[in-house]
Amino acid sequence: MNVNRYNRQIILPDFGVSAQEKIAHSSVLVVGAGGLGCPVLQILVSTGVGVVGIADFDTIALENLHRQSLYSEQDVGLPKVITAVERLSKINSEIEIIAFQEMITGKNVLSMIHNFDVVVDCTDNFATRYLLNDACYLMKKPLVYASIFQNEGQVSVFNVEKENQITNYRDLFPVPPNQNEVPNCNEAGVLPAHSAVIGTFQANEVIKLLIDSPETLIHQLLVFNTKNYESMKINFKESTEKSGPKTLQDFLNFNYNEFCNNFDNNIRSHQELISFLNQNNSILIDVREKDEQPKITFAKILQMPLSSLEQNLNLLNAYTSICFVCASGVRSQKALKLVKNHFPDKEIKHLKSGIKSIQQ
Amino acid sequence: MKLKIFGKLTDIFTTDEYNFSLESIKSVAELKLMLEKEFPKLKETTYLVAVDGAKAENIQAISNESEIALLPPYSGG
Repeated sequence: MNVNRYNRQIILPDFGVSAQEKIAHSSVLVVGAGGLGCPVLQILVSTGVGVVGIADFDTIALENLHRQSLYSEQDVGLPKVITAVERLSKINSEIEIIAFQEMITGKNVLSMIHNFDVVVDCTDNFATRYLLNDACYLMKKPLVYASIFQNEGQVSVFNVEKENQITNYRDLFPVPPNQNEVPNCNEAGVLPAHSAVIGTFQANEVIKLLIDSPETLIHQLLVFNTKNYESMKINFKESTEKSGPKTLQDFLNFNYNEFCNNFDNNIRSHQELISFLNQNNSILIDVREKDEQPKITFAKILQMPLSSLEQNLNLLNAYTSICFVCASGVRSQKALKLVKNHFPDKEIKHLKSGIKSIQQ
Repeated sequence: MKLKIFGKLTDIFTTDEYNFSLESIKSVAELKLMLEKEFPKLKETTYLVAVDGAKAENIQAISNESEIALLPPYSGG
């Protein structure tokens, strides 16, 4: 380790060579190399963390570039982890960088996190967030969490014992929100400075954790608003009732997509549609306007044009399984979203590519 | 009494600071019941209630001096 390189952090009163050595002998896995992952990775690598892992399955898109500063125009279409490793190795060639170009699943997560000292949650969806949280809880891995919504961000540190308590994400939110209740950055929008600020806070927590700083966000949720600079720290405790899987075996059998309501709402074939309609209390609803062709004759239908669907929702009370259909799948998907909001307990699907896709 | 509202919950309240009179409300459970009656969409929404800087359970007592915040989970990363 070249100590001169880290001189400006080593000379800090509560840092020193011993803290630098601790960092150099540490390993950190960053899950998600997007808006939070980019600043987190950049800081961990330049601070001198000995081994940095990156897990991401995605490729670089043009609309990522404004906030994901590890990537450039010529990288569009390339896997994020490949470009990230290339860039980060140029920043610091003294450390080891390990890439996992795969989606985190129940099958691979335990072996992936096993060899790292700290895991960082930079994911962008609830199914992966709960999966990673539960895996880290069961494996007793410190997990540094952050996530953002528009100008607000949340940061916390999980699975580190303090005052005889070990807390995790489920002690804040025992169960996930309904599908579509909380939009991600692709849907809600985000400014690059905001994801950089929250990612920087997250990286700061990782470094503080590695050097045993007494002031990390253990049992505390930091909420920070970059629009008005208001912040709030919420203390929280271990819940008496743990809502997640209690053993590794339970974990392996746990369906996170189902738990987070990430159901596949699409029907793709005539056969799939017929078997759906064979269920009790099922109905096919045509949301096209009354004069649109071709008419559906192969099944009993209810005609409810999308334009007047909301006023007639009471007609759906009697059905437990509903499939919407239109010409191309656009209106039927809108109908699905609308009705799912009103009847979250009903099984609702739509014909993905419209009526013409299944007519002989 | 002032209630600080975070995230997408501001869509339901159409503000990030909601004022209300306490009257008969003595606990977090009663507060939630009152708010969910006033804003029915809140019933289908996931959020935690913080009182005086700490996550609060339903049985926690509240008073006129309590600082209350409603926080939803965020998804972006």
